[in-house]
Amino acid sequence: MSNVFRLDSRAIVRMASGAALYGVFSWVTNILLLPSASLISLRPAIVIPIFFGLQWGPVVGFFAGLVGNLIGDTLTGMGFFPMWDLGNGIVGGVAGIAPLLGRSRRALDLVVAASVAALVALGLWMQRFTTAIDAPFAGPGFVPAEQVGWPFAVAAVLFVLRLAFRGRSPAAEAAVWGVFAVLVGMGTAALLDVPYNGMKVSVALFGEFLPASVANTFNTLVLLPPLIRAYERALIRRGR
Amino acid sequence: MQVFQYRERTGAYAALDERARVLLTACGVLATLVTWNPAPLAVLAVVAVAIVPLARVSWVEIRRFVFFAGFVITLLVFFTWLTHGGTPDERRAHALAQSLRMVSLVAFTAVLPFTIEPPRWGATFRGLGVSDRLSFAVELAVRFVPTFAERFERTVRAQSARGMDLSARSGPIRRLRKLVPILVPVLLDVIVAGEDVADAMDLRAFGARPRTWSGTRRFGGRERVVLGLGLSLVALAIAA
Amino acid sequence: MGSLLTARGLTSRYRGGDIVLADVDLTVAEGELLLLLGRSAGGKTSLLRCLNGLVPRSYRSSERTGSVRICGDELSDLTPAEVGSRVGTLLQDPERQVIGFDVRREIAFGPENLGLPLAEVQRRVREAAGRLELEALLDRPTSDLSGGELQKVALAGVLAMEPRVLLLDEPLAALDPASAHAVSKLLRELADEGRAVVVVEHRVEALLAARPDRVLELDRGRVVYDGDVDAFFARADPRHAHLPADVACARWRELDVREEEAVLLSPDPAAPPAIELDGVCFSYPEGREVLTDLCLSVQRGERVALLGANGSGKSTLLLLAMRLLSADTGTIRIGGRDTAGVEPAELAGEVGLVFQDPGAMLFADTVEEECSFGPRALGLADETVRRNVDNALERFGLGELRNSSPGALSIGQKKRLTLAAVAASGVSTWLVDEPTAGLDPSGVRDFLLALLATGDSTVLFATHDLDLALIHAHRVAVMEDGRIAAFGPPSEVLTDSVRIERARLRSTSLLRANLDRMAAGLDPLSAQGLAREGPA
Repeated sequence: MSNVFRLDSRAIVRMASGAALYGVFSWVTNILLLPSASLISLRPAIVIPIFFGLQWGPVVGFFAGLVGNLIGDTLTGMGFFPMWDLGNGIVGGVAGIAPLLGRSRRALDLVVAASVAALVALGLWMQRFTTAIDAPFAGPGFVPAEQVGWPFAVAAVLFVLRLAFRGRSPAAEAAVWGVFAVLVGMGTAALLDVPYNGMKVSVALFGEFLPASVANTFNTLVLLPPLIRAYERALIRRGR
Repeated sequence: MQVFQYRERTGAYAALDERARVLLTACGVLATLVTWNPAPLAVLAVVAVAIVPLARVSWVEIRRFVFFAGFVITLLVFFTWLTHGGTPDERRAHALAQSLRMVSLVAFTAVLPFTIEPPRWGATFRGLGVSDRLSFAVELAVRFVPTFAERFERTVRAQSARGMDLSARSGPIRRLRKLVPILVPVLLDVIVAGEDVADAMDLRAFGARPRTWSGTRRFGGRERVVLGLGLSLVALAIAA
Repeated sequence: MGSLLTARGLTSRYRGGDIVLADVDLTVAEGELLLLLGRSAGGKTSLLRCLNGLVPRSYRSSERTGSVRICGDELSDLTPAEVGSRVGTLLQDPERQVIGFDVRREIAFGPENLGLPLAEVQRRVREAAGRLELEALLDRPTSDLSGGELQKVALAGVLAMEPRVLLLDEPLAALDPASAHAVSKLLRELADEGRAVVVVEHRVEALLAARPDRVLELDRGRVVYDGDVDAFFARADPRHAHLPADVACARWRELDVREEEAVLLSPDPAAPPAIELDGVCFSYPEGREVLTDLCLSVQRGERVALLGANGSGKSTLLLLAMRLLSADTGTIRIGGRDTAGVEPAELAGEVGLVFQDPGAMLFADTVEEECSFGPRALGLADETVRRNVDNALERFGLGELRNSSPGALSIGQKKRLTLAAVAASGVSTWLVDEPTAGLDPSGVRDFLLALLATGDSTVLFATHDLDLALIHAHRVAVMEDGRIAAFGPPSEVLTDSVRIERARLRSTSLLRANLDRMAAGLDPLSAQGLAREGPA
């Protein structure tokens, strides 16, 4: 990977393509294909900035996520949510770290370990909120009990992916990086919403981070591997 | 294909140099972010909402957005109110300030996609001091949007003609999987076509010298007044 | 006349790999138009990339040796800005090189990159737009333009750089015959104004309107012919270039080779109609009316060519027949069944729609999986899917590629794969949009042989290729303003020159060579067929 920070014509075209594709695909899936979008099908397009980051580095990935999210918001006419635009940029940018490290196994281990540790910590901390809450809603906590399982589930998936493929399958490796990027990006966006929108950390984490990252993790795990496989196979012919 | 929300508009706001409008929005967002005092926040929210009719954006155009933003704001404020400590008065004050902040943030940003002609975003960023190459990446992304939207439409048709039924009810994984035959052809097509686009840019000397940007407007007296208004909003918020 | 473009001993290869160009010499003088010919993958596009500096500037995995001089200066000594203002290149697909959001921005792009003063940029935009009569389109988004308009806009963008050397890679490929003729004539004018013009083009007959001064033929990276056009015709191979009918006919006789051709069998006159459109009206949501009271009936086993200008509604008609769009009024019957309210997926086992661009649908990991997507979506049994896929791969000559990735195939193979993928669903009625666009003569032959191999299938195809309609259709329908303006056998419809011109077609040498035969009530023949029949 030659200098990923050099903005030559190819890099600019990739940035623009990633952004436009992300924006258009968000719009298409929101409006044309999945009109009754449940939370779980929210934004399958997130795989686009991850894909562009994985292939062409952090600048392309960040731009695709940030500008793509802005374009998506522009097309749907839903207004701008700057922290989430930034968060989407971070998703692409973090995915773009992978090619910089040249598929290092150690980096992959570190990514899995960091994500698993953070998720487990979050899961444990969440326990506190399942049982008690202040008035006026006494009784069960505002975090439904079944949600507490999500962080553990995502951590387990990462762990299994790493063990099962040992970093040898490009698609599985991409999926691990993709999930990590989603966690970092959505986490940053949710935490920035604390000062931006004046929320409590717990609300940001449970109300925003958790649903967004679980849905996007799911989207990434299902859609990213086939994209990576198709691209790698089509690449064989083109030598440049 | 009609994809953008932008329509040509008349009036004083539309006649302003885009840079002034972007700066006004930026000042409004900044001013909102620095304060939790309800008095200046009320002023900001009123100014932000007043810009919408001034910009000749009709309520019909943005009703979907108003519903969506209203839903999100209500939800977030409610959750924060639930979890916020302190006396009932403190809670009420926080909820009020938070609502005003969100209305202001959303309204300041909402008018831009409706009023800035999409292909002018690149030149606008350049005029605000962003580099030639980054600004052009934005311009190119906007240029790709209608083309990519059409490619999605074409691919959805091609796969439907082969018997793919997107409307059929099925579980979340299968529903996501159905997007693969749509996403892959468009993605590969975009990547391959991008190589030609980059060649075409190189062949026409992109990046050889600092660019000329056609169609930039003049930052004149009216624009300075608008910028002054924006800065005084920031000053008001800081002083309060 | 000075030489504007000279190459000496030009050799190019992939780094550490195969030779792409071997020792090519070439000189193009001021005012000269050079036609560059050769089989697919023979090195034509690579040669253009060496002449404009993309190899090795952008294609770093390739290297080149030898010398290229532009207006007397060595190419590698020039800055990118100098190269850009001396050599203008039109890439193969106009859709992929138009960079501006609208026409004005597209034409201004090059001059803006040179950092020219605003007034000079505007002057050049006006001049280039005027040169190609694009003034009325200046504010149109480039995403709304037709193929012909795009090609002209792309050319205007190149001309705004005011280059002395023009390199054009298949400038006519996307154009209807009338536009192709107009662009050819324009190329001659551009050369006559003192430029050196190099054109790569398969459509030799259409390009003759540009009166090329010389032909250079490449084969496997080597120059095998460099000389005038007449001498080239005396040695050309009709299997690899679209030659004028008389030339092709003479060459077929001399070569004494025989090539398999698709045969047109007569349909059973008692067969029921396969596709019926009755009083169909359709308009797009923006309000543009496309079809008005359209009636068309295609018999089972019949091949019908759909001709008409861009925007006359050909593609819309195919989308309606496949139920991808719904008619506002009127009825559409497929195999006798009214399709109102029927989902496209329900029709997919019966009717297949093949899009012009294979890129619109290929997605699977392997050729085999690509073909099984359709039958699986239809819910066919595994055994049937396997049998259908095997048959389709066999029929379209893709058996050996079954485990290859669709993305790694050549354009000809991809087009055949789109057919195989549709065939595997077991369709008997085919709707095909521009079957031969982008293919060289041997690609066209393979495609048609495969498509038209079985006699019992019904084929309705939209095309700009008049020769295709002449030889391979039982009947021809000409669309005009959203209606069928004429419908009948080629000998009736294609001989009406006024009608033909209104559909933006032009009479071809093959049509003229067949006029006597058709007047005598005989079926029209291809150049090879005419050669075999002997002088009439």
